[in-house]
Amino acid sequence: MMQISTSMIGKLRSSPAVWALRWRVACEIARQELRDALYSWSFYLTAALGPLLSALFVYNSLNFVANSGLQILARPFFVPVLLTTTVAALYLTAWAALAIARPRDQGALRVLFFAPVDEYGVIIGHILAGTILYAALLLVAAPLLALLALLTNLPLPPLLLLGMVFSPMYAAAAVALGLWISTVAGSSRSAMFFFGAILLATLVIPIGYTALLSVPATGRYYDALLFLRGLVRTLRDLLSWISPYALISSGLDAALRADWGDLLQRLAVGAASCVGWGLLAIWGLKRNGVLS
Amino acid sequence: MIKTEQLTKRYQNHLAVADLCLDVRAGEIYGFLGPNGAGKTTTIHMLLGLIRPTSGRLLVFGEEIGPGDFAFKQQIGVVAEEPAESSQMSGWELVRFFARLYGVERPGPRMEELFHELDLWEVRHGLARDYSRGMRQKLSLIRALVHRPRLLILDEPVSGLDPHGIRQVRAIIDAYQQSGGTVFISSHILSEIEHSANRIGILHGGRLLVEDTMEGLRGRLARQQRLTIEVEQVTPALVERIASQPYVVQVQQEGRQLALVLISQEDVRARLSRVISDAGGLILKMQGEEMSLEEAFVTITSQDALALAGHTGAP
Repeated sequence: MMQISTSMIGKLRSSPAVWALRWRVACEIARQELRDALYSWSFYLTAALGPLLSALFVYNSLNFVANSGLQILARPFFVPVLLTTTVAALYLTAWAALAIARPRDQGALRVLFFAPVDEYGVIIGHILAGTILYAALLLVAAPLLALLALLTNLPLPPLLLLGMVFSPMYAAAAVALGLWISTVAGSSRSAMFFFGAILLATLVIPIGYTALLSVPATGRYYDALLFLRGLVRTLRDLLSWISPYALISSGLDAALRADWGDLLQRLAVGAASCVGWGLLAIWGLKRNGVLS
Repeated sequence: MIKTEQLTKRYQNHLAVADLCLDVRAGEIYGFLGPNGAGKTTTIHMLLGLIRPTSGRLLVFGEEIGPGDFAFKQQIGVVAEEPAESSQMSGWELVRFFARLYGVERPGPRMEELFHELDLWEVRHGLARDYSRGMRQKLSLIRALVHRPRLLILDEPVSGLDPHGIRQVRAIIDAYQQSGGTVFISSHILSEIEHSANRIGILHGGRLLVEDTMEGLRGRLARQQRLTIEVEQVTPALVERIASQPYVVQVQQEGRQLALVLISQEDVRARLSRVISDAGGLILKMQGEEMSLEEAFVTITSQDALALAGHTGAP
């Protein structure tokens, strides 16, 4: 057992020792969270949902080909892979949105903080657990997608699989976003509302932009919707860089196009986004505390 | 071991803890006593860094604890007032998880010893969240002791326990102290800690009224006595006259009977008889009785507590 003298407490304030302690805590929390998630039905439901949606999409595409007589189907597995990865990332955002708020409601977070843990260790541990869970979901989905490719004789490009391999970086950002929601929300219920609102915003903005494009200008020399169009376009552009889900899409696309510069750029944004949301989650936990 | 200097916590318009000066010495059992809402749990939360004090200093193991410090908790074991477990872990896994957080590499033998001692061995593989309240309380104690801490902080440690469980917990706490550990027990029931505590601090309305050894506290509280007086006719003026006497802490009227709580080292019955006669009252019966320590504590914390603090010279 590690025995610590009083003089060591002073020593433990020094940065490397504190970070070693935080890392130990993060690993233990990650291990525990992984174990809890693997015991829950929601993980398996998500693992099944992604490939199921993919299979439905491929089936629909094949039907379309059969009915229309189309000879070429471009990137037939892009949308199925995007669906699988996005469903996994959404599940993990929701999981993270409850990861702090629920134990805080129940008083278990307070008990956890009786031990030598701090906000950094807890948030890093959850990001670690969420990212590993995402990788586990992809590990389940990848063979099923390969099987689907084999059965349908449609190509599953290795570059797309490579894009999947890099996608945990964006998923880590999605988990960190969920943790931020969890720390700033007053309760687990409000955390879920907050998550729903953010999700809605990420859907409404691109759909709204597309809808506005289809609306013609209100006059020959004057368009009353010009400002709104500009605003929604700016929001959409912004979202494509800060939304982890948009990053998944653009990252897969960059990998499939073998545009390594763009892929690296997306990965760097994903990493920065993960750090940013993670720091905001730490700030939220410090600000709102561990007591319900 | 624990020292606080002018520790204060204010929530907008509510003063939860005011200028608290505590001194918990190494190797002792310190009883932190006070009614519900006195500020005990707030103080414990400040000790553990869960909430930030509004002002004042806090020293644990001789070192000042500032915002962000958490490594010092490696040497502390804590039992919460309401033990909460929400995970999918069994009792055994939960304790092992905490042991790892505390850096214990091979917690098995220590866990086995504690699970046996607290009669949880047979149910160790059951889900912790399905345990009864008493079992969860015992599990919290195991969790708090698994890393052999130097300081044990217990918030209402025997609430929810049956008499057998209370005895087991007391035995463990005593054994822990005998092995050199320091215990800080918070409770609102004096009898819970009067047998084991070496020193006691009484908190009321966020202020420390008394801090003394158990013997010293007994001496202070023993000055209180209960007196029942039956008079021919009780008038408001008579009650007011009696209540205005400096040695009268409390007056309760029930028909023709007046139940008084007095605080004085002398026998004040003759003085009180004169006061009643001067007010025109006629005494039919006067009967004195000693107050138990528990009753005296309740009186301290519910009646004129701050005046008593001044009387006893507490900080």
